[in-house]
Amino acid sequence: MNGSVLVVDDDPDLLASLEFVLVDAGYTVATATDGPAALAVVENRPPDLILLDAVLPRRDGYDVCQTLRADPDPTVRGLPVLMLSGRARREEREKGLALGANDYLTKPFAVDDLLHRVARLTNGRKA
Amino acid sequence: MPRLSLRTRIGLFFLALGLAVPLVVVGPIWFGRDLLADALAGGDVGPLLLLGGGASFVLIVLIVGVWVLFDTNIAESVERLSGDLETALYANPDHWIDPRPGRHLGRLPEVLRATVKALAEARRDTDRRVAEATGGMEQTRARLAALLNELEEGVVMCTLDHRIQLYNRASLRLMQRGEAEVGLGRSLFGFLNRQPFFHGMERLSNRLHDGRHRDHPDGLALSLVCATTDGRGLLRGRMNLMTDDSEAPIGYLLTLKDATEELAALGRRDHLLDRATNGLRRPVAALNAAAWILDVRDPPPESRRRFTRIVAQRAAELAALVEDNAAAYGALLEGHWPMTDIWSANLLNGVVRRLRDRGTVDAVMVGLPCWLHGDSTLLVELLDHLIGRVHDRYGAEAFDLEAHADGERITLEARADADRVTLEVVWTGDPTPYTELESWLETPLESGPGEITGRDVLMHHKTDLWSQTTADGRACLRLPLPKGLERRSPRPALPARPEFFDFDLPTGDRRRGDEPLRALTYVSFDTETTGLNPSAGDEVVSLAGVRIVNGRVLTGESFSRLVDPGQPIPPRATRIHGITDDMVAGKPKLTDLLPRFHAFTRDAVLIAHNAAFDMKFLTLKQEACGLAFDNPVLDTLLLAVWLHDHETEHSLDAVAARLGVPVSGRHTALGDALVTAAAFLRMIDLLESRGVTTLDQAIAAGNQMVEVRRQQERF
Repeated sequence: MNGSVLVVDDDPDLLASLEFVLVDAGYTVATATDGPAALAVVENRPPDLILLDAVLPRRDGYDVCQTLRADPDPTVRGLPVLMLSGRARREEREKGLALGANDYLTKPFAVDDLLHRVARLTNGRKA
Repeated sequence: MPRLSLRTRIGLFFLALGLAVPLVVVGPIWFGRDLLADALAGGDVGPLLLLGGGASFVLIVLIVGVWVLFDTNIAESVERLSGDLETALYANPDHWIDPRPGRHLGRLPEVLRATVKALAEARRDTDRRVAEATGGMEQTRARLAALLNELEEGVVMCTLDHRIQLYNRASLRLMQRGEAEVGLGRSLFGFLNRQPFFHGMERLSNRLHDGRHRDHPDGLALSLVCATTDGRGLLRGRMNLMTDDSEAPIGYLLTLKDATEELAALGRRDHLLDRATNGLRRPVAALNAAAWILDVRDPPPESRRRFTRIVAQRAAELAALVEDNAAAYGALLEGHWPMTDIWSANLLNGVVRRLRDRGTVDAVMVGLPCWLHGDSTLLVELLDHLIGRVHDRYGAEAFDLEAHADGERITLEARADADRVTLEVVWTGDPTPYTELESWLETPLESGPGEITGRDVLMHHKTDLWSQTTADGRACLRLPLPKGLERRSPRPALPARPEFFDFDLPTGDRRRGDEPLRALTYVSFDTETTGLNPSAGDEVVSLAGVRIVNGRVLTGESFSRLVDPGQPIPPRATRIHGITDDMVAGKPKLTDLLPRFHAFTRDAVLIAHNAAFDMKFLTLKQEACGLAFDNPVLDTLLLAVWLHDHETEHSLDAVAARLGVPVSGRHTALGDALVTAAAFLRMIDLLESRGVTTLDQAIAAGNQMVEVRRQQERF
């Protein structure tokens, strides 16, 4: 196993595709469609990486990211986050990275590029 | 016999009086000396007492007589003369001093008349010199006024407390949208939201304070966007802080432009751009990932079906988005091309004239003109271009040009669209085949801007053009265009010589009791009515007012409306004011007008001649409108009585004549309000000479007269 990834996106089609791609690449995948659900998953079983959509219902990706980084549990606090966003402006990318994302990818993205980044971020955390 | 001098006459009068005393006392004693001697000898003092009493009585009668003579001939005359003199001195230099009451005062009345005449002449002389000296200034002022009023941009100058000192016609159009009327001395914030101005003022003051304005590219100016208070308009403006020689701020200048459409178009463009870029990211991301799986990973059949469906759905979603964006882009294009409302007669005339100048084709304009929306130059070019081609191709020499709003006549097109105007070019012959017309549209226009083609013109107008046969068998080109707004209401009217600026606006509350009378803002108003008894159901048929700011009657800022009284106007009332039932038919009710009048009188002291009467009409209706006319009120009738109590006649005509106010338009509400305003301004001088300088004092003087009149009525 390559490790576990939590994929958070409110677009069910993209969520399904990402799940397929990551499972296919040997990862264990959990999914969530909004901010609170993602945080609940992290609480129960922290993954090795979170793929986090920036725009989410209820609590958006930036909010989730900041909450994680403020968590008392050092494991949770240190979870790698790869932020996916439908917004490409430079300041939005900077905002994501400033709020604690380890990497930032703009939609649409090349799947190979995504897998490459996921591998890099989960490196050394293999289960 | 020459008339004796005043001193001789008075000397003789008192000599006679002196001689009368011994006559009255000694005379009876002399004639009754025997009787008196007998009575005194018999110890009887009765006749002596009788004699003394009689003499005393006669003396008292004499004294009373002398008092009456002095009072009527001297004291009263002196009072009248001093009243006349005051009027002449302070209000009306041409006031006529009546010599009759002063005939017992020797040459005093004549001398006074001569003095007043000399004074009046001296004043006229001064006025003439002043007028000559200011003639040049007046001319400059008139030019400045013309310049300001022709500017497309609104120009407003304000004091530091945001009151209007100057405005031009364009600013009226931009700011005046609601109930409130733009006027000198009024707060800018009655029309525009205050926040941008507070903020702008703060920034500019800081810039000035820190001395940064010297190097700042904008100096003491900044750009701002503000909304009108009704929230319907957005204005783009520039605020420029004005300073005096010592760099102390004294006010600011605003230039304003309507940005409602411009900003809305910008907003639409941003929205479109966002949709065209960011809006595509999500569906493309999903599509991309699913396609990658299908292409690279060859999933099992179950998953394959699922991802194929995702690809199909997302592709359809993208197609729809592209369609939407294209439509929005088209709408945006139209909004970007500068278009105006055009009167079709002007447009078609342009074509006719051009064709006539060329001399090959005869075009005639037919039908009723209407308003359409487009670019006049481009449309003339297009029509000229097409008619030229039709002439070259078919040899047609006579054309009818017509613009008509769809639905006004039967056309081959069944669609009657209320938003369109159709331009038609009709000639006798065959309609142009589609492909030929298309090729004409693809060639650049002869004298159009750049390489612009007929197709481009159609695209800018978001329309198309085609050729068909008319109902009477002739050929025509039909070009539908957006309808223009028939809002060409006349430009906001400013009177011929508007008072549109006042750089000396006083500061402070414009209706405070201890403010000097001169510094206050007033509205002089008047009503015409169906009768004299408001409490018994008489109603207003006309209401008018005019503002007085800083001692000037602002005729350009008047309020004048006819009012539907909701009842027939009695003929005796019509005889007075000339307003008939027909004239007020369809006019607003007083309750509909009062909010507007209330806004007009905001911050002002109300003035009326016999104000109690006019106020009664307002206060009877104010509750129904949810308003309160709680302005201080001054009554020129009461003030006239206070100033000239010896005069019996205090009608508006009499007061105006006494104060030298020329009277015109009497018995129209506005005419009377203007006369009252002018009379009041003259009264201010007289009041000041009597020590009445503030509003409170003037109100007190009026109230005093109310009391006096009440007491007089008791007798």
